[in-house]
Amino acid sequence: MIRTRPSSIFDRIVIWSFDRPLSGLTRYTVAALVIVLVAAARILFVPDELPWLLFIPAAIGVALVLGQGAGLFAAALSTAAGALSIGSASNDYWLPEPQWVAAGLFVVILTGMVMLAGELRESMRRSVSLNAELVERERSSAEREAFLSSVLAASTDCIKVLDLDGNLTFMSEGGMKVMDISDFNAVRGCPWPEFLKDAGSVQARAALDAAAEGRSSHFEAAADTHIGIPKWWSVSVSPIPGPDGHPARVLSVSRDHTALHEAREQQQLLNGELSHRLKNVLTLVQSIANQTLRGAHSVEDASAAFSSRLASLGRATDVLTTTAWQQAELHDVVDAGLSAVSGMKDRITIDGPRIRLNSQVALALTLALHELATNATKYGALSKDTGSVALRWQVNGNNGASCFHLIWQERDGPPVVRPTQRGFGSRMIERSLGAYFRGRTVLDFPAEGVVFRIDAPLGDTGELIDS
Amino acid sequence: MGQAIPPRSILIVEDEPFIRYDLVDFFEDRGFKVFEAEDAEEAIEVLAANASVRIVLTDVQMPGSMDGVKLAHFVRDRYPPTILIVVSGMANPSAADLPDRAVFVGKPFDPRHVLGVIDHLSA
Repeated sequence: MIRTRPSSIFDRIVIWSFDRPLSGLTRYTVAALVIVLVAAARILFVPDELPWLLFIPAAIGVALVLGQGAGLFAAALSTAAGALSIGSASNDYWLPEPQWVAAGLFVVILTGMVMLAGELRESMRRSVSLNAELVERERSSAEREAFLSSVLAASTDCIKVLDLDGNLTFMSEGGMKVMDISDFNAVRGCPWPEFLKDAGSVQARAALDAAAEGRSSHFEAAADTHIGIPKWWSVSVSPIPGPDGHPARVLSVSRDHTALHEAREQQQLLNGELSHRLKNVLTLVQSIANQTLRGAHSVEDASAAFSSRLASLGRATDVLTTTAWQQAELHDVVDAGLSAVSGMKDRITIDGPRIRLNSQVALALTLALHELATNATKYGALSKDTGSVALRWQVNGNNGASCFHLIWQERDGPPVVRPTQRGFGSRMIERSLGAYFRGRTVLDFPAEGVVFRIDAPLGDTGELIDS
Repeated sequence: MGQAIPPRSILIVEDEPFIRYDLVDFFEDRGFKVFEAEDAEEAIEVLAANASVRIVLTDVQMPGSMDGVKLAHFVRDRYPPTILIVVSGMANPSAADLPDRAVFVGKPFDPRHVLGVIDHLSA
């Protein structure tokens, strides 16, 4: 126990004097003054038979309060003052002989006592400074402890100290919070590896073995919190050396990596999904290539047609990418499908409500519209400056059994001649699109202009967007 | 097409119509009688109605309650001698997932390669 306050008056006076150091001259002056005052008191109140008595406490007091030097000075002065006050010129040597003996004894004894008092003062000074040092050390150690525990408490990591067998001996406050533990006693002494699931507990034991041999290690594993919430942890295990330098305990720091782990899994899932989609698109491209080549008159024709089909497929991909390949809005699909004729926008009327289409249907419709537009610019209404195209759609019926109707109608173009051969476009438009929409598609060639219709239930293929 | 040998029948199960039609064209061009289905349910109906089908080419990912792997198991149980070709854009399913003697082909694939496999298995 460290004393921070002096307990006795004596202590207090001495310590008070430590706090007020005086210069040498002042100390000796004060000592002289005290002795002169004592001498005067002695002459006034104490009979000559006891000339020395009063000087003893005075000189000791001076030694305690003003130091050994001033004490010795006071002792010498006391002897002189005492001798002066009782002597007389009638004696041969100022004092009678016995008084000389007494004065001699007095000076020797007082000197000894003053020196003792001086030593006492010095040892008190040492004890006071030692005490101050201890107080300071305790304060800084308390501060350090408070700092460390506030750091531990502030950390969202689960910081644990284990014995070499892997049993829990300490867990940080923040760690208890992330592990949903309200009272450490509930888990004190529990074997830590058993908190981790499956492979994690095996890794934890391996990490403990490594720590016992003085090596640090790291692993990731799944563990439920105390109330059973599944989490993923990044765990660092390292040895805590004992006084002999050998591992005495084990530090285990677990960080909640659940969000990171989920993001990684999500990314892996997305990569798989992306690869799947990529292969599906490649397969679609393969089919487009096969179908293009089947009806081709020349390599040049086939090459041109294939390139422009791929370009429209690319536009459709852009539209789908914005919705993570889930769906596309019909107006965006129309834009992508008609991108080859975007310079003739003023001759194409587009009108219809907003409809969300699933990705397969959106891709197919893009390709079909591309074929209609390309044919219109080659042979149909868009091949002459006067021609125009109307593209309209609507949804009839309520949500339960709503029907989608789309019509592409060309007018004011050159007279239509029914093609003799069914090429890629017709096959794509009639055969495939009907299957994509699970409905009826008709491509007709009346003389006044090509007409294409889709009549299909809207069920699985898409839904009307409420505006 | 020689009249003496009846054409081989193949069922193509693929939910993407454009890809399905392209495969239909490919096998029709090579003398097959081709049946098609857009999902497993339709495939089972086609098989029930056409006993001549001895080759089934199915995609794995399809809408509906049954995927291509389940369909392949169904076909193997119900029509054991059928040649089974399972195709997918997903990573290879493990051999344990597929029925006996089923061949997995990753998408996209060369239909000529599949034809070679069919010829080899029918020999």
